[in-house]
Amino acid sequence: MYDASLGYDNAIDTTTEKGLLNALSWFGITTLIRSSNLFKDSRFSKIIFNQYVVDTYSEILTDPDNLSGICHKAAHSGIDLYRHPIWNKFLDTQFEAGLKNDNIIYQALRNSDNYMNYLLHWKKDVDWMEIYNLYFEKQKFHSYVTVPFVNTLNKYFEHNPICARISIEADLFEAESKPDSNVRTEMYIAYIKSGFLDRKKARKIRSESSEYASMKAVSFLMEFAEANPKLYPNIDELLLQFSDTKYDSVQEVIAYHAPYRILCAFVGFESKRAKKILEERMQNGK
Amino acid sequence: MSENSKEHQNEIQVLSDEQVVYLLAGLGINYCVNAYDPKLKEISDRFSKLNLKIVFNMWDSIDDRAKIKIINSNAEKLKAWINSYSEQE
Repeated sequence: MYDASLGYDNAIDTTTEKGLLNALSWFGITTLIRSSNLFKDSRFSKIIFNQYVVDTYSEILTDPDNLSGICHKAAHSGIDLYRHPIWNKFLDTQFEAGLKNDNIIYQALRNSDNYMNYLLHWKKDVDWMEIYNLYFEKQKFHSYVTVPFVNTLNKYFEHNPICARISIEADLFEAESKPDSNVRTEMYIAYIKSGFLDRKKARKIRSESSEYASMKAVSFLMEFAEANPKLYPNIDELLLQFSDTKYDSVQEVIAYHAPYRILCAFVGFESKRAKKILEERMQNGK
Repeated sequence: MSENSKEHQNEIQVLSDEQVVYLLAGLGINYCVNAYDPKLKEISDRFSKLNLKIVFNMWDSIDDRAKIKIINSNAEKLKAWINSYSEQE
């Protein structure tokens, strides 16, 4: 009988005084959590940070849309809801339940504003390997790569680089059924960013079945290595792995951005545009 | 913890459970009096006939439209009270 759109349990008997107050308070809590002033109006804050509210209206508060709305407003008001003692336990319970719910994980992956993503941001003890694996399972064959997936991928490398390296290498270079090319592109970028790329793996990126993924990876590699020379002192050697790439767009991006000192290695490029760029750069001496 | 969080932390539990229910019911009636749904209209009609002692607890959190509804619904009592007040003067 629960109507989530109204936040009102139709089963409540409104003919009694108690029932009427009960029904009105249900409308009230729904109005409150949907208000843009939830954390800006002190009257509303007093209500939302009340144990009675969290205990009594948990059915409304646990609705994923409602909870996401509350987290969104808290975050935009600079409030770390997870650190409030009253909300901490409640949010922990919701987080644990969310991890076990396929539908919630799917929603969290598709929507940055989902409460799970706010909790991932607020919580300090996140098992990023677990989150990555959950998100990856839902993301790997979809060409639209979502922001939460990319954030999780980066967090995985940041917090657990060794495991991240092993699992990403397995999925990118060894798996029989590889992720979608757009997903691979983001994985290459995160992998390169973490400093793990070596000659052998660069060669594999050169042999990528997707021209776009190969081009984006090499383009990011050149840009990143220039900004972080200590991480890739062997950038020349890595770029040389692409000297026999068959992809025009890869040839062009290398011709345009590769360091001048190794341009000679790419004279064999067949793309007319790449050839023209190389000629111009060699003539100009830069 | 941010300043905002500290500020809100200080506000925790300053309201009793009863106060919370009245505040929420006040927000709820503000929603119902502005709704077109017959069910909600029925609820707001029932509210206007509530014991005035209960309405008193919600008075500060309800909108003028809801207040007018209560006044209209209790017009006779109000007139009698005004009358007795004038007689005392």
